[in-house]
Amino acid sequence: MPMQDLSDVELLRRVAKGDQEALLTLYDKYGRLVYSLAYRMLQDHQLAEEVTQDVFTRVWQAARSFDPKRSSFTTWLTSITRNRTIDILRRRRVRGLTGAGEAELNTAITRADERFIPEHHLEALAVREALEQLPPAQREVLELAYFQGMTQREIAEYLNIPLGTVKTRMRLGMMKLRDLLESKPSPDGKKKRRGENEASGKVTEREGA
Amino acid sequence: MGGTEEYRHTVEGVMDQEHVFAEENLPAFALGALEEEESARVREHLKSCPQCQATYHSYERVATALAYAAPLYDPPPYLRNVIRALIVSQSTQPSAPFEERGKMWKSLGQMSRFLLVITILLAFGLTGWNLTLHQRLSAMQDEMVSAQEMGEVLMDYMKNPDAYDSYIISGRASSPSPRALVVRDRTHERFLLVLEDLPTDVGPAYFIWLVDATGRHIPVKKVRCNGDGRAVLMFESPMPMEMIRGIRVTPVGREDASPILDGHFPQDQGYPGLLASNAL
Repeated sequence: MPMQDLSDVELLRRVAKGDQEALLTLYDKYGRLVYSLAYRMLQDHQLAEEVTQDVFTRVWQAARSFDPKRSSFTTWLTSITRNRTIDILRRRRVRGLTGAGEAELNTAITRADERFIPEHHLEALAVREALEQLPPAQREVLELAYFQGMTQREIAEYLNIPLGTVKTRMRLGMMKLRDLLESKPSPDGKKKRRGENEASGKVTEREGA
Repeated sequence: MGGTEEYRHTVEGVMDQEHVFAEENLPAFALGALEEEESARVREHLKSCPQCQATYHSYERVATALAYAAPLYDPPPYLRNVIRALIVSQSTQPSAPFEERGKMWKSLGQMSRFLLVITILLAFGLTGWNLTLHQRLSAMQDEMVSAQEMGEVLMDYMKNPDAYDSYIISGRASSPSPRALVVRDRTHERFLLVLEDLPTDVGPAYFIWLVDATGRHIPVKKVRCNGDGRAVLMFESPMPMEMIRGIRVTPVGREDASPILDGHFPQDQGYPGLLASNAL
């Protein structure tokens, strides 16, 4: 079977055994996502390159520790990307530098995309449509948290609104977004069910309430 | 019994409190938007609550989906090669026979930066053979692990290329194959030297000499090339840089023989001038 037809989990298993081509296949598949996310957060191409490089190096080093029962590969990958990028953003804030992306807040998510990359098209389309259905105030706190790496307390200070308001907006925004995304078919045409483990394809647990 | 019962109620009460706290904060936890203390509380509760684990995973998927909301850009084409170089260098024990390996070749992570800098050099318009040099350097990824110090220089170079001069020294007419790429860090007064196609028939070790304004030759470093005649090294300038007029490379044990590389920095272009040529 050609490398590009293998599942993420299988590719990662091969990476864990030292298969360099498997890692490069993952890069071909997700390099754009990682780079774009890092760039969106940092607004700096050079830093985005460094983050992308670090992320795939981390995947190479830590492939053995990945547990598909705990999360999907994309969840793991985007977590590594965000953690690495948030470190940079927080260092910037400590040094008194404003986030380079702040000028673009509230615009990046809703504006028309420059380009869609085929393999990410459906996911991008679905999440953008879902975000557009959120009240702007809820969307704003989600974006500040996700793309600027701000905590709820930092968002409250940034927006000069009570912490309780931020918490409420974030919670409601995430709940609505979850419902919207779960009601959409996934790229394979199936609707996602709550509790479904993407990586293993098994239903592990069901939410009680 | 009464005490035990009371204890049980207390424990259950605390557990309920923790459950409520976690449930309320799971969306923010999935976004990484809690303070560290709050995150620790949620994390602790998740260990023992299957219901919250399932809820958390549902929010975790939402957080993952948000990554797709970022406008998509193509990373630069060379980044794939950089990553390839990096993992290759981490996959194998460094086989490069560099003399300085013990103290210099420490940081695996700097390898990619090295390749990035080479790419930048190309972007600055260096000519044909440099492309070959770059390709060959890429091919030697599995035998090179760069040094922390070198990585720092290269990172500086990437961020602030104006603080550096880059030069090419090509082989003499009698021995045209050896080439050297010289990156001169004016701020810290040090040199990075990439040597290629050194003749292996005259021996694997070479002396690097600096030539000062009076024509004096000052030995600065001995370097050992690998089987393909390649070597990379960095060294500090032993004298003010403006006093240095050139670099030459001679085989160890044959210092009196003609240098295999002998480049002179151009003086007529001013200090940051580009491209030294080898005297024929």
